[in-house]
Amino acid sequence: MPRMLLAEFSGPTELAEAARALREQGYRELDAHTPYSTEAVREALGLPRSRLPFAIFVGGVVGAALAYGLEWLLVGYLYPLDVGGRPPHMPLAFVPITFEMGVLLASFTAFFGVLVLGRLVKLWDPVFEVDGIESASVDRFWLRIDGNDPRFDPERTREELGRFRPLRVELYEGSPSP
Amino acid sequence: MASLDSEESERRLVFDGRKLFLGSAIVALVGWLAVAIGWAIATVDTYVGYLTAFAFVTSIALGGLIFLMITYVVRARWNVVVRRLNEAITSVFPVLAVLFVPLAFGLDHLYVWVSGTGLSSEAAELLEHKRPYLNVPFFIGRTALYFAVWIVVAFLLRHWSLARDREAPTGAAPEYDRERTLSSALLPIVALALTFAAFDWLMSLQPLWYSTIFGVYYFAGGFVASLGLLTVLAFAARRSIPGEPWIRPPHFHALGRLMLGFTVFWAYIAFFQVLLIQIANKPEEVEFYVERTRHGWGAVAALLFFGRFVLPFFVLLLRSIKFDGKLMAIVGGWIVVLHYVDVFWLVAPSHATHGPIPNVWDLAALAAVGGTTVAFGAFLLRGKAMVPVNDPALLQSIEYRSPL
Repeated sequence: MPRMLLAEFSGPTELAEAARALREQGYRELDAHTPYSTEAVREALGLPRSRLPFAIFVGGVVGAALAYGLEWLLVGYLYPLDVGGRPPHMPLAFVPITFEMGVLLASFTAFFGVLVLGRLVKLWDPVFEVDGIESASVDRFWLRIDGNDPRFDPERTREELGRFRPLRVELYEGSPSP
Repeated sequence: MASLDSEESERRLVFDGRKLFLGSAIVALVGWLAVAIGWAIATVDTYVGYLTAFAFVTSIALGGLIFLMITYVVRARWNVVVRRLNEAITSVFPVLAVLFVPLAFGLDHLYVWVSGTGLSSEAAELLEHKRPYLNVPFFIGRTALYFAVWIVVAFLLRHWSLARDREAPTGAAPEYDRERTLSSALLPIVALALTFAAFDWLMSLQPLWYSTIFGVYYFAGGFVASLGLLTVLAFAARRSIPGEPWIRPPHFHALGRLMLGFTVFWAYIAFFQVLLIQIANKPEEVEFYVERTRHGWGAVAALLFFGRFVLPFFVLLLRSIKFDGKLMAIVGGWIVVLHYVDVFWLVAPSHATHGPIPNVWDLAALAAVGGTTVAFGAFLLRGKAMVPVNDPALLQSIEYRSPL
């Protein structure tokens, strides 16, 4: 049964301040629910850099290689095409398709990668059960401390959060399946 | 962060150019001696090498000038810490104008449209139609005009920037109104002068060949090379400023991103020029690439493709490398060297006797032109601060942070 504490803040600076202080106290399983992404919050949470760029690079290289291979297979090998006496395998002419397939697959990797890594198209998450969490998609900034955190203790953590004057603190203790 | 107004920090920011000036002056002296010998015993080769070196150095200065103007037009702030170094690159136009003079005496050794040697009767007739443009007085007059434009713009931007060093800091938000007006108004003129200079100096080596994108190709190469040189200078300046560095990893990151972008731009221009010519396959157009791929020149073209595009592209893609000033300076230096190969590949094959490896006269001319230019730039920068110390946007620039 997932447990977590959620604290609502009025702005990203307040949230970042709290997150930074809690991390210094030894909290590790922190996350934020905010209406938009801010550098201060990302920094305070100490999030690692996304692995997405590497995946996009691999996608681009694979796309380019597939396109070049296909062009070679079709017009260079299986059905050699004589265009004005040029050799069938003409790298210069293959470049535009290679480039565009590279860009296409890189873009697909980026688009679907964001969906997958962002865990999007997930219809229900326990956090939705918390009272008032809707404001995270309007104008409020929520800090989440996961129950798996080594320092997590409902009472003490609530008290430690209180020092940063959150607008409210909600404890979520799990719910029956939706 | 370093305090900006302490006398101590201002004193150590002053560029003491003695070593650089002396070193480059010695290189230039040796170069000029060798050029004089070459002029006596291998006139054509010396002129070819001289044109290569001249076009190479000028393209870097031009890239720096256009970059400086663009940063004013787009109200960039991050570059203020490297602006003085950028101005050092653009301060050399007067000496480049002087360095053009020897070329003016050797036009008949360089350009077949002057000498007329070895032309078929058909080619000679076609050239007659180009005579109103391709004639010696107009050629020299145009070059004088190009340099007039570049010298005035580079001088004014640098002059205003240096004047700000001496003023008391006002603390007001920077406006750069006159710099931006001048840059916005004259950027097209400077760019056109660059394009026509590329047509005149380099493209007219094959007077019957033409490519409308040639000027952009020359610009793209010089622009990346000037960013590379700026990175090298930024690294050297950072090392000579003790204490808290003002030129920080985010600045190298920004320079690296620009180098990556314009490396791709250069490759894009180079690729489409060759692709379109290859598709059309017209004899008068393919001539350019035929000359530049046979007799060993194909290896130089391959070196340009791999060394000037593939390698820098993949190296510069890596984010962490771009934050490392030393590595970025190495990449920048590499790009500058490969830019010389590029200009060499543009110039030398037009003379059938020249092989694909730079000969001693090429190197002598490079030492003469490059050494003179660096010595001139170092001389102008001596006793000046390496960073525009009173610029109201300096603090903002020092605190520049990379976008995530």
